[in-house]
Amino acid sequence: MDFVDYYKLLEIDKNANEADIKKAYRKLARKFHPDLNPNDALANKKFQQINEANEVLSNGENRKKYDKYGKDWQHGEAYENASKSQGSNQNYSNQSQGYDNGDFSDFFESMFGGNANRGGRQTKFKGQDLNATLNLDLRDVYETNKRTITVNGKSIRLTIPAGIENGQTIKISGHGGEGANGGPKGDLLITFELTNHSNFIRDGNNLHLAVDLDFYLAILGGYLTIETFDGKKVKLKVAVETQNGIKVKLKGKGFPIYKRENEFGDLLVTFSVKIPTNLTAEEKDLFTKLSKLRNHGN
Amino acid sequence: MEIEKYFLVKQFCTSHDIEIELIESLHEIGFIQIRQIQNQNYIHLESLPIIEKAIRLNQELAIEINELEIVFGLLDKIENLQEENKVLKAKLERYGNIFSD
Repeated sequence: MDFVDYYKLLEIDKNANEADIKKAYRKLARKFHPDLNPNDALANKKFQQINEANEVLSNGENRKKYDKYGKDWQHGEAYENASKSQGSNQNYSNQSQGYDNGDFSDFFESMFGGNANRGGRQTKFKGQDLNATLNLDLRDVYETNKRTITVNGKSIRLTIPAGIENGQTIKISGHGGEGANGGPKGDLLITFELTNHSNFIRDGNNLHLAVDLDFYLAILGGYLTIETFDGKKVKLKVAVETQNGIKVKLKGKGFPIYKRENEFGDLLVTFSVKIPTNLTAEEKDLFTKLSKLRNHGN
Repeated sequence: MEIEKYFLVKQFCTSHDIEIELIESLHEIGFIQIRQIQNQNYIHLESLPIIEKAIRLNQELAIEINELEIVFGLLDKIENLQEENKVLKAKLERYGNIFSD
């Protein structure tokens, strides 16, 4: 088994500091990264080597050990074994979990041990992210509220900010699956599915509302009271000769803006003028007269 | 259903802890297609390898998003040249066999 000169591999000298190592690694990684060298086995091999060098030299403890026993690593190993003789039976059986042992040289394996003794090299895996869907009514997200949900038998208290969007996902860090090798827990990703049973249509932060407008009110103008999404009554001025389909914007009466306190979108009211039906003979007569006045009748 | 072949951009970015700009840049460069379905942005599953490669290049090698176009362009050229090289080598080998016979 040949000694591997990690300093040489990273093209740095033995006094290199952390920044030098990082810089050298970055430079060589850019040159030999497998993504940048498709189908190039030599580059891939080289990348593994510089990766290994970086793993050792960028880890204070490993670097110290490497510097101490480096060329005489065989003696170093003997020393280490002697000092740990009461400890567990060191296993260099090359069994690995999560990655291929072929990524590391025999030198590395001997120096820093098998899977259980890799120190800094042992890859920590973040736990699995869990996905959950929460079905809510649009009215439930008009105000910030707290909910307790149960995921995998665990209760999680959740604050749902007002204004959350349909399909939006929020991340609850550390509530996913357990990590491996001391890695952090995964995250819980909650996707919101909102159903809308109101007369309002949501468009981002804005709300749309279709309102029937009495024919006479549309022609002569006046006032109309409508209910906004929060149930409050608002008196609207209807202009004389309001046309069918005209929109009126009520600023700040729309949906709350996500994570912006006391800020709301607009409410856009669309008037739908209702033509009277079942006219009496007298009404018909009057409409005929009106029509003639307009020179539209016969 | 068609929608099953796609994944939600917003959700992907959250779960991978990446900026949405990365996906948008890849779309602008023309390496991936973003599709709008029911007012939501989706990416086709086939784009996943490209996106993952972009994330690796960005996070492991600190290649800026605006440099990815150049990198991907060059990688494309390399792969084409490698393919061409393979074909030419095979041809040469064939001719070599003919002449040695």
